[in-house]
Amino acid sequence: MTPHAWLAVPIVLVCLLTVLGGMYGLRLSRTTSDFYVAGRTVGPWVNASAIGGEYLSAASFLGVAGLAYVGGVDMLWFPIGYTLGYVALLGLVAAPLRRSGAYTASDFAESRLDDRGVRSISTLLTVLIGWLYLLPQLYGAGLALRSLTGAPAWVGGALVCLVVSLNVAAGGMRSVTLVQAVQYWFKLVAIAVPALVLLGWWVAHGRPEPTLDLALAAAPVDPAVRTYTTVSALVALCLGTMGLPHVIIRFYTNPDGRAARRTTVAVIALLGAFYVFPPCYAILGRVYLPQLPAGVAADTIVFALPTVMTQTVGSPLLGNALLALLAAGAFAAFLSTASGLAVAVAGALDQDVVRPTLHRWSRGDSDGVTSFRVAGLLAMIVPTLLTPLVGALGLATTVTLAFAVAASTFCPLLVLGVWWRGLSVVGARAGMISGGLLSLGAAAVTVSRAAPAGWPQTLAANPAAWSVPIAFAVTILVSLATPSRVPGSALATMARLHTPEGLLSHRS
Amino acid sequence: MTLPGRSPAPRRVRITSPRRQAVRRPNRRAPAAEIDEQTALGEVYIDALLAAQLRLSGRVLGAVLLLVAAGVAIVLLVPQAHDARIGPVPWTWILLGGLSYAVLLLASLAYLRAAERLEREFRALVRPD
Repeated sequence: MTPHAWLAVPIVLVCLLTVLGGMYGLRLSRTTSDFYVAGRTVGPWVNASAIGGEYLSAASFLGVAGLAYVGGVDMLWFPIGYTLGYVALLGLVAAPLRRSGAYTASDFAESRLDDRGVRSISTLLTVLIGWLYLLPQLYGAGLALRSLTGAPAWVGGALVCLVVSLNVAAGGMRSVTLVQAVQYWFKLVAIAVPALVLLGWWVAHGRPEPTLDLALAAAPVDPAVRTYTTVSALVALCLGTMGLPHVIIRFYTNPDGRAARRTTVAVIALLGAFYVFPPCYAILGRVYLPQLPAGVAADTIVFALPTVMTQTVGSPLLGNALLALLAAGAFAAFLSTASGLAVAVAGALDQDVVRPTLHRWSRGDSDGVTSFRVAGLLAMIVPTLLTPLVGALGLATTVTLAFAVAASTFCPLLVLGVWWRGLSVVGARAGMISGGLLSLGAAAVTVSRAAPAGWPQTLAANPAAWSVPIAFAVTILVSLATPSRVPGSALATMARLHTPEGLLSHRS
Repeated sequence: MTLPGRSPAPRRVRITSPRRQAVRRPNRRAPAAEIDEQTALGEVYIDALLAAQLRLSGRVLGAVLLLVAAGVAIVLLVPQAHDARIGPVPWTWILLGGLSYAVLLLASLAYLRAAERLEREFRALVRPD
């Protein structure tokens, strides 16, 4: 497709609306507590829409279609994995996580284990996972903006960084919650309408056959490698979702544990409704784009289709209208995911790094709102500077790495913390450190392309299948070896996590 | 005499001796208090709730896991599975791309109902009033 400068219009419009939403939120947010969790006044469906709006990232909006276009039916496991993550979250941690009454994963770790060390490790991991997940969002924004308008690749990332920083600094989570809830429905329309129109076009024009069998990958892959990568990706997506910082923080905006469960079920329904559409673009891509046009990444075939399909008729109007809608939807995806991550990373940085530092510098004269804004800026600027590292890895691969790190660190902490009284402080520390080192090491090897081709590369690019079991094993074995470091408050904490609200007297 | 709107005053009962033949009320405290005070009995209640919820999660997630494992095995390792088609689109594509989400939603709804029922039962057990 040839870039069109006018496609900047819908993109700038989405950015402006996001900033306006943030300013509206500024009028609503008064105290630091509002900034963090929107005062906990959000209903389940609004909250579920906000989770969906935040979760459906560049990888979902563009990446899934690109994956299925190249890899065929195997790649449809990715969107299933993204949804499966919420089924695991629902069954294992949703209600207890909310009942823990903490704001962030670090708060959960500290309240469950009564230990500052576990808290510091959690904060560090929250920031690293958030940054790793922000990289593909910013990279995808650059890729999309370049293929749509011809702007240099860095412009898209810088634009997202600017809008998200403004939005987070202006309104914190309240504005983000409202903006995110609207973003879900907007993204659904932006992916569904062009898909339905183009599918209709395909059927109306005699339904030409795909040039490549839909069941097959564009290039044949060794069955053992295919099976391993699919299983490893499913482990990462299924167990990583509960550890993503922007997902965890959303659970504190539910009024109680029961609402947290209902919100999760609503999220599963909303994600299913969305994920029906990206594979449609892969089918149409196999029909109308026998091979990738020069200069088009697989991640942007969604943008290439409307023009290619409608160019046979004289008027480009329909194709352009659909393209504008897709461009706006994709930017909504970048902005909403990046905003959610920025709020979560900023929250972690603020509580454990920025506020204590400012407090020391100003001798207690700083206020919480200023430090949250400083943290918000830090949260966005660092990944923006690192974006060029993503390179040609592809959106879905990088996002899956972030899931793998979350699954190897927070999943053992959360699942064992919620269900196993024997979890010891030393066990939790050892599990998170070993899982974090292994998965982050694999991510670093993959991003720097240091692994030799073949199995080493496959194992490094898909670490979850080995790093998650190792992290669980280390956590359990070290806990069993250090029974004296099991916190004395374990029973009381677990009673609070599992009993319905209002049943016990020591809780309001 | 009876005032309008008031029930007649109860008859006065003269107590002459304790009712020895009546069964003594057991001195039973609400289980919620046992949990609050972290007694051994409270621990039993919490462990029972935990075990019941964990069994439920295990059943639902185990069933989902089996379905996913079967799906992965069929889609990846049985090439003939893709032969049945609607037009050019293989059935496996429709199964993974559409129907799988309905299955996940049904499983999560089943879990939600069962988990809320367990909590209602637990509430009735520890707060019988």
